[in-house]
Amino acid sequence: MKKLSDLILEYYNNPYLDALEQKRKFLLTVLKIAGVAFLAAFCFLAYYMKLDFFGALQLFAIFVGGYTVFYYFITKNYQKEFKQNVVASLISLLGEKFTYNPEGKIEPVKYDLSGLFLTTYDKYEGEDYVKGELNGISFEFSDLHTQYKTTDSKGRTHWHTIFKGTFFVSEFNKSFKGRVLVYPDYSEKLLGPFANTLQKLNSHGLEFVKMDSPEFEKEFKVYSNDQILARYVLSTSLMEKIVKFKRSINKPLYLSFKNNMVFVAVSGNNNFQAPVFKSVTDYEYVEKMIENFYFISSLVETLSLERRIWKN
Amino acid sequence: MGAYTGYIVAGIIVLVLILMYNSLVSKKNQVENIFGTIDVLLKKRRDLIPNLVESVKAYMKHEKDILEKITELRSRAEKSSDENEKMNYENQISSLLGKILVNVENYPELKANENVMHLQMTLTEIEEQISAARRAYNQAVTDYNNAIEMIPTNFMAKFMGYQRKNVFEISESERENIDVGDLFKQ
Repeated sequence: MKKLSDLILEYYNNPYLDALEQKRKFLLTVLKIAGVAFLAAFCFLAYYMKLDFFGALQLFAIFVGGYTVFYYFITKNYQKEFKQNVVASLISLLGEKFTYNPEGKIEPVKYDLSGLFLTTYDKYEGEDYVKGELNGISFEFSDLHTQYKTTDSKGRTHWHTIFKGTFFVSEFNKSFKGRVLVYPDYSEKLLGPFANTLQKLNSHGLEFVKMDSPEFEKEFKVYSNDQILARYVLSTSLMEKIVKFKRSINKPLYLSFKNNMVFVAVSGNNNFQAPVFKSVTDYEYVEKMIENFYFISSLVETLSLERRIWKN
Repeated sequence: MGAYTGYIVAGIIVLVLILMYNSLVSKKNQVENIFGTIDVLLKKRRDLIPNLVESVKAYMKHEKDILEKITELRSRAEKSSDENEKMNYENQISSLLGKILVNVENYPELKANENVMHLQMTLTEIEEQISAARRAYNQAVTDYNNAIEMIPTNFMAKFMGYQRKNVFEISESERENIDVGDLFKQ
């Protein structure tokens, strides 16, 4: 596996970076002008229609929505170019066995198979699909965003996020029957749709498993259909590695072990977004973006998934 | 009105007692259940040992003593009826077996032998399972011990004649787990 610094260097050596920066500056100017224009139009309309406070607020919301759509369409091409030229070159640096598809995503069947998020989704979106192989273990990951909708008494539809972040799937180095689920350990009240999930786990025949590593217990909650299996899958050394990984990414982390596979879901923002309000060479931004991607793509090594102990 | 309150209170007390009783029984059964699994795994391992010893003894001259010791411990563990003594033998087998499984790597003849390699992997796998089952056992025992010592279940436990159980002691040598995975790294 390449080092993080190699990837950062590759990023800065990319010949397309200058052209992209020019484009970004142009887009920023357009966005600023459009922003002023939207604001002026709003003020004019609000004054002309003699709106009260709540009316103005509603109109403002419409304008914000309009501006967001405008933003999306005007930056779409720029985002696409960034992915095709810059991100693709980063991924090809990792080796021949890595492929990248900006529009691809982890198949819904794998997300379902993980059994991590039991709330039924109405919308399944994803992008930035990466497939790779490291030390003989193949894996794949992509950004995912799953949502469900509710309709309120006035007939308005509301969308709620179930999971947003990076979803990783790979083979697991132990063969087993059954399943083990690892959730971040925070109060169920904070979880929203998740409290629901935890309740459902019980009805799926899974029981809570208390692990014997205090560090791990502080960060996670484990559920499994078999007390011994949970310890077999989560060996002392794997628990240590998971805790270390959790601390390095510092984001909510979910793991599922099932059908000889491991599913890792890292809650957070998208992997590759070209900066619009910051320079494409902004070191802090670039480092954070590449670091996130690097942590995920080296997960096989971090968790020592290549160490097969049971077969050739 | 007063009579009803009496019934309700009595009903609640009976219900609480039943719940306490059931939870203690289920904790005790959990411990026994996991202990049963460990027993099965240890038996599985004992069945594989003669096979391994037979296959490697012609080559592993330096480990002759260890192999003899394993065979001896195995037959003692088989015969022993005392649970503690039995576990003690099994623990010793674990640590000696670990050495053999690692040292197999020093013999090219053995590494080329499919049967030995298969045995090595099977045994390593069983070791992992035993270790997992022991960790599960220790947790079940801790839950059980907590229940029989904590208020209010301790009164019920005393009444039922439940005694504290011991967790598995994990020896120093076992704690420093041999990273068998390293062996398979090229």
